[in-house]
Amino acid sequence: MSQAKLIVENLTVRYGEFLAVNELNFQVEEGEILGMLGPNGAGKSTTIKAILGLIPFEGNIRIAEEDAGSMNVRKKIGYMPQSFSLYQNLTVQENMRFFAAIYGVAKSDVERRIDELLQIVELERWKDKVVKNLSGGMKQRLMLACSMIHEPEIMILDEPTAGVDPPLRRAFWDHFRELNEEGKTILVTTHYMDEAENCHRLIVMRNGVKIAEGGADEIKRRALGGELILIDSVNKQEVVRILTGFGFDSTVVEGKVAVLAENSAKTLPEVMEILRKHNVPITYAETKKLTLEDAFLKFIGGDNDF
Amino acid sequence: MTSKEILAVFVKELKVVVREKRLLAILIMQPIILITVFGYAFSGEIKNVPAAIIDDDSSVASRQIILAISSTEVLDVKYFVATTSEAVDMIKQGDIQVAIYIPEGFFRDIQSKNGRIEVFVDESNFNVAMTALNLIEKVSSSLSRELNGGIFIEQRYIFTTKTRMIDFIAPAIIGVVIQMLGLILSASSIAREREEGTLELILATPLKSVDLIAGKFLAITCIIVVDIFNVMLIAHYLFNVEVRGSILLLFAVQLLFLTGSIGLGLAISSISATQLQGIQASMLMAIVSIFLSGFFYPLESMPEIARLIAYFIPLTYANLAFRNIMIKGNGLDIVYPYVAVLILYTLFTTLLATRLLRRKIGGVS
Repeated sequence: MSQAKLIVENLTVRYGEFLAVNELNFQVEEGEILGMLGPNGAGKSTTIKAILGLIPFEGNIRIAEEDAGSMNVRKKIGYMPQSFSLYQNLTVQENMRFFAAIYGVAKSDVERRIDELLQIVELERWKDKVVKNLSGGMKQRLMLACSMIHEPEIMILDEPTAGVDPPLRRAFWDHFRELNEEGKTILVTTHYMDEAENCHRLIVMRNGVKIAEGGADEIKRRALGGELILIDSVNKQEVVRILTGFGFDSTVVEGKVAVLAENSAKTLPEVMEILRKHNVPITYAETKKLTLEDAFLKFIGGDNDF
Repeated sequence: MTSKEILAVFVKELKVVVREKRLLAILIMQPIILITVFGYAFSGEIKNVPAAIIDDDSSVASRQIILAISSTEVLDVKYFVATTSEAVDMIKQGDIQVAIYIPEGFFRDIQSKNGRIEVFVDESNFNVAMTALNLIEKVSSSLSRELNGGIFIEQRYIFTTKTRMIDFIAPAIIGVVIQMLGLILSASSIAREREEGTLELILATPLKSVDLIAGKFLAITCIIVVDIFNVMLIAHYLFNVEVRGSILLLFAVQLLFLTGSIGLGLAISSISATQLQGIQASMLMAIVSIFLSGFFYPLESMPEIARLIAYFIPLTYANLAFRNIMIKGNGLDIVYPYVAVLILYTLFTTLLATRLLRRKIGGVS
């Protein structure tokens, strides 16, 4: 049984009258990658700021058994903010040394640590370059390196791949998975659905409220209340009538009969059997794999709260 | 407070400012330009220096000397007086800056190569004294060649406490530099971090806000101290401005006022959203201060309303303290009321800055 590295209980954050986060509850288990999804303004970054102890909040946040905001807890968190925020006038090495110093990394470890990290993010050659002369991707890699300088137990990454080109995004996620395999717990927000598929678990937020939680497949299933089977026939209305008679939830969508099933792979043979018995000609039938994007759009577009 | 963290912030801050070429240029050049411009404007070209002559010889030679001296533009012979003591009094009162005494028997002594002229100069204005002495030297040596004789010049320095405009203004320039640059540097410092996003990142680290402020404070102090030295060196070596009182006391009061200014700057910085806002607010403060703190005129000669406002401007007290130490050579026994006000100011601004920064840290960005 893994133990929770981060526990968020009844988190509420107000900006004046505005409720940015409302009664949010979730946990990140040790060694887990938890993804936070949600449109802009859903309260993801606010939640992260609360966890980092940057803003006042109501509720409880426990990180590795300690309260959020304490100096001790800050040492355990590696934070990579959304926008680039390092010293443009300092070199790669100077930036890393600065963060090593303020995170209290032992002097004897600093240089070794810097070399290790620069190797991981492939910036060794740029060690003495002034940051403002680096490309966007390199800066992003440097931020990741800086956020890990003190060997944090939990990494909090706020849209780490925003504005990063696809090959680098893949490289980033390779890093994240490697880190995770080394035992790091990761909380990551993202807009990219393909990235979300990499997370062990996801929470979906909208308007400061958690509207779904679970693995990627679970989220997809819950988005529609099940999976889909698509059937094409010359007599679609007949198909719908018959299946509804057998208790299936089915309608005509975009020229096909869509049947909702808890497990489409199991249900498809059953449906085919029924239709064959009723002699309805079928030209085509498939189980439809939902993408996470479909689920996400369904969640954030709909009114139903989960 | 942890020294390692403060040192890290200090080194980072210095590097950031030093590599910001335009900011650095302003920081270094502004004080130099200020003191140089005011120095030249108010120490003036040496021309028509008021002088008096005591001619006890009334000979051909003495008249020739007087004529030669009067025909130059350097000295303006305004008075002929009877005794040297009268002339010395006039120097002390500031009526004249140079007096030339030609003793009886001057003409006769020249021929025995033993002519003697006494020149009294006001030492408070070294440039003027040197120029006048050079002129008299030149005039008398050409005369002695002409007469095939010898003239010997005796120099007598009269110590006065009168001040030139530049002596009056130089201490105020130091005050203005401390306030304006201290404000600008500190006001932009936190705001710069906020604009570049580094503030949020730093606040998420275990770095204490006290250490952050201390590191920044030390770095800004370092830079401004360089400026103070620049101004003092130029004032002294180029314009003969002297510090008559204790240099240590002066430096201590300068540091005190600097601390207050940095505190105010950090306070402004924490409530302004951008660097630009911070700098504009500081410039406004600086300009109001310059005009109303008795920069050009002593407080006593300002209109009553202006004087009333002046009492609420910290720069006023800094100027009073600097002037007392530099011009009058006064010690802590005299300047303590001004120092007391500056201590209050410094306590107030640093406390305000720490409180505002703490709140800002907790607030909505």
